[in-house]
Amino acid sequence: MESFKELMKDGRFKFAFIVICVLAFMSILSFFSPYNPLKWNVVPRDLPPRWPHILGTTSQGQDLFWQSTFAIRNSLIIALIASSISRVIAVIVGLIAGYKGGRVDTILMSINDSFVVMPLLPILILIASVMRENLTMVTLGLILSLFGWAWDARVIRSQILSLREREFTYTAILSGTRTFSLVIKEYFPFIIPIIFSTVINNMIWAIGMEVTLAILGLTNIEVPTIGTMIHWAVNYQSMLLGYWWWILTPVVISILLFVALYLLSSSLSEYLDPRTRIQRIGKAG
Amino acid sequence: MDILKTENLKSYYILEMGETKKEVKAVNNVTINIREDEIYGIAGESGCGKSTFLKTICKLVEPPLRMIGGTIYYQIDGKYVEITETKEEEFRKLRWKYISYIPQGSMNALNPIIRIRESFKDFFTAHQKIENEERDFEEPLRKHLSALGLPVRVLKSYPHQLSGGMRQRTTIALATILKPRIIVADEPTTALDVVAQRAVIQLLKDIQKLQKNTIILVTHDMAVHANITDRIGIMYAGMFVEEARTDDIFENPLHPYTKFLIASLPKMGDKTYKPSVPGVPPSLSNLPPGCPFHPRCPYAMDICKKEIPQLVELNTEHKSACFLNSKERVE
Amino acid sequence: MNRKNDNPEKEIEKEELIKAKKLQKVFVVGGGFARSRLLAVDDVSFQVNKNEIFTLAGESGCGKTTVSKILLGFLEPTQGEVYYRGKNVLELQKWEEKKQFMKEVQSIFQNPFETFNPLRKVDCYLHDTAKNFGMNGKKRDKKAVEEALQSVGLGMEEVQGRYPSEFSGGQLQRISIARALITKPSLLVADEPVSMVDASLRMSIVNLFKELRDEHSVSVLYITHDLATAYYVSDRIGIMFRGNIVEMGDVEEVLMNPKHPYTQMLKESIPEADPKKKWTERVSITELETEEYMRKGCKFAGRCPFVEEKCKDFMPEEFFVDGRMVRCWLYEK
Repeated sequence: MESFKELMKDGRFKFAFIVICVLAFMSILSFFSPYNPLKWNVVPRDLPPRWPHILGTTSQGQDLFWQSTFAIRNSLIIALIASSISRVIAVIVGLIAGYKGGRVDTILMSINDSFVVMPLLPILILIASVMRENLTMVTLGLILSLFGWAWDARVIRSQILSLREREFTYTAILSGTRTFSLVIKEYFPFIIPIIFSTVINNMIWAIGMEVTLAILGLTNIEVPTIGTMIHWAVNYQSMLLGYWWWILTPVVISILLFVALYLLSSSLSEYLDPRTRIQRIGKAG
Repeated sequence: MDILKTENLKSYYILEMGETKKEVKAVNNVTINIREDEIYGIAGESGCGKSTFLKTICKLVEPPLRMIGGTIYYQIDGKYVEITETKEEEFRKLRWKYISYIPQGSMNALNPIIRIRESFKDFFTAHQKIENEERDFEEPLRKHLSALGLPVRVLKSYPHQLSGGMRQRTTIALATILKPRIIVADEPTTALDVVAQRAVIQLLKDIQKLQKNTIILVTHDMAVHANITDRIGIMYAGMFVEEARTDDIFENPLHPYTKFLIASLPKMGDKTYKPSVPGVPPSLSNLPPGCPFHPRCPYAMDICKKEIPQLVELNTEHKSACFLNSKERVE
Repeated sequence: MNRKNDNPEKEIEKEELIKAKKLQKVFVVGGGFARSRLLAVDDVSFQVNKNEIFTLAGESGCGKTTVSKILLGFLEPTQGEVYYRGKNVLELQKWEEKKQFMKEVQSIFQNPFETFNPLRKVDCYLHDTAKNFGMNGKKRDKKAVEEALQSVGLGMEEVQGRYPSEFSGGQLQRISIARALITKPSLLVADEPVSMVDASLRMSIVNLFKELRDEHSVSVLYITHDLATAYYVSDRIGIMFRGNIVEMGDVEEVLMNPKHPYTQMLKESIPEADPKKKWTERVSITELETEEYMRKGCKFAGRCPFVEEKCKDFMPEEFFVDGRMVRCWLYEK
């Protein structure tokens, strides 16, 4: 766990890690919630933050604190599904296109470019308005993953293209390594930092998309997520009525989440960057 | 008179990663005198500190490189001026007019989207006032180029239309048009083919003869040194270990490292066995105690492992930093 | 081909190991409407025999690296064949056959720091090579690796578990040679192996090539622009200029008594590491070299002191004089 200790020395990573731990803890707390998140009027309405309702209550009679635990959990689930599946697609496409080159590359990149130029928001709005209540979290995650791989596949592809021309590729070939193991053994250490930094960026993007769609009322607004919380708060005009705790809670949570994820991404990718890794290796010599 | 002197010059690369600090001692206590009207060569392996030394004396020190200690003197109008503490604005007046630096790979430093003539003009106007273009710029430029044997049509070309050798020679012409007193060239002939290399060497010789200035030439190619330099300084692990007239270095090397170096040079027409230096060069961030060469030296004595030998004059104009040599002299 | 052997005794029939026949490689530069063809390798034929060191010498950009890539199978030639022990290498389709070829023909490269993946430990390559080329069993693997390291003067402890950044250029180059030797090859293709190695360590690697030839029966195809080391180490030499081999033969004769005008000019321009032998004559270059590659006839016609009209229009054929090949109209008779 030396790497972890090294990372904790970086202020950004420390902050991000703590925030994410807190948020992860909150999402686990959701399993112990005394209230059913889908039910309304389980507590007195419109109460400002005060024990036992430490973050206040909504106009629908729900406790904000326990709602948030569910919201964080669900948003994170959507983000994780979307980003992990899209990574897998991006890596496979990028590796094949980059290493094979030629026709395979051209075909894959044409498909890739079509996805890149697609106007994402209108399409998602279209899909969401058609699917409505059937748009569960998992479904939303899957749909987002289908649109989230294109950019990063190109990034991975260009990395592979440049690696292919480096001399150690030839050394590996001369060592008898066949294509598949070559790509895994030689190139993956370079690809991993890309995967890490893009996974987190992808998560940020997925959460942002979910929030956007939820505010527009296109997702299943019964299910508590950060987006749907904002949606309800806006719909019930909480700002106007002075129930600031209702709109502030999901906004602050999303800001914290975004900032933490961003700092995590930048500190991790700097740590994993091959150039700094090489410097760290040379410490012994 | 000397044109440039250094005393106990030290400049290190300080690399900090997290909590570990690594000091790469690229220039480690160098005291050297370079004369007027000479071509002084600096030889040594890659990573021995030659390029760093050049950068330091031209005050091109940028982090992570830092000048740790010592002094640098330039001789300006007969007086030694200490320039170690001179601020960048003051020093800018000296750059290119007094001392000119031609870095490694400089043939690729010409602006690729403007013609050569424009590059020259930009350069000129940055350092001198041009009142009458023909008199102050065009004429001196043509004279300079023809004196150096460069065809005038080079001015109308773009850099990519010239070969590597031609570009390098143009860069040298550019660096010398203001007639600097010192020209510092870092590996001016690496990456050039043999004929272009010859032309570049010839050019440097011509400039020196014409302008009677000093050229400090860094290269690891001993054959280039043999052809052009008057004196050579051999660098090893950040220090000068030997300095002498070129003939003496080749015929009578004193320091064990130089001896090995000269013995290992392949020569045309000679197929006899050539040995190489045993062992590996030290890491500049982890130098052995005492003489940096002692782990590889077949003559290493106890004192070599403890103390660092200083550069002492043993014969006329022949200095060496070796306890064996000074011991022999005493006896 | 005009075969005129003036000295039949010199034509010792050495056993041929690898032969390149009329290799040609065209690169298409640019795309769309602005395409141009770069003839990087043009009608190149040569062979490397058993127990010999053959040098392919020339300036950077003359096509020698392209030739080595074709020989190793990393690049397909536009025309021409490569025969190894009589078999046409370019027709090998099956992986097993290609692997067998790689077992016998190995290579090392110019930049020792690029030869290995900076993020992988260096001994991984050694063990991979041992495993993939049939040294069965972990014990025999390890033994093969140890022997190879010993033959280049390194020990297992020095190398084990370390990354490329922990070594010097000279050491890495030796490890690279050790890796190539694990398969017990018959031919080692060395592309500029010492140009990035410090002067003080250069000769140890060059001397190693001699040892390989004398004690291990390994032939070496030495590719370089440094004629001094080429003279020191090789038996035969081929001088390349802008994609053609212009002179080829015994190294003593070609370099000490060059016949082709380009070789003559090269020889005069090599700086000698001897202050008593400074250049005395001046050289003048005014030609822009990019024009030379596109020439119709002999590519050296622009600079040749003996140029004739014929040279500008027709590429000279390969003529055989005094036991060597010279591609120059001067030797037509």
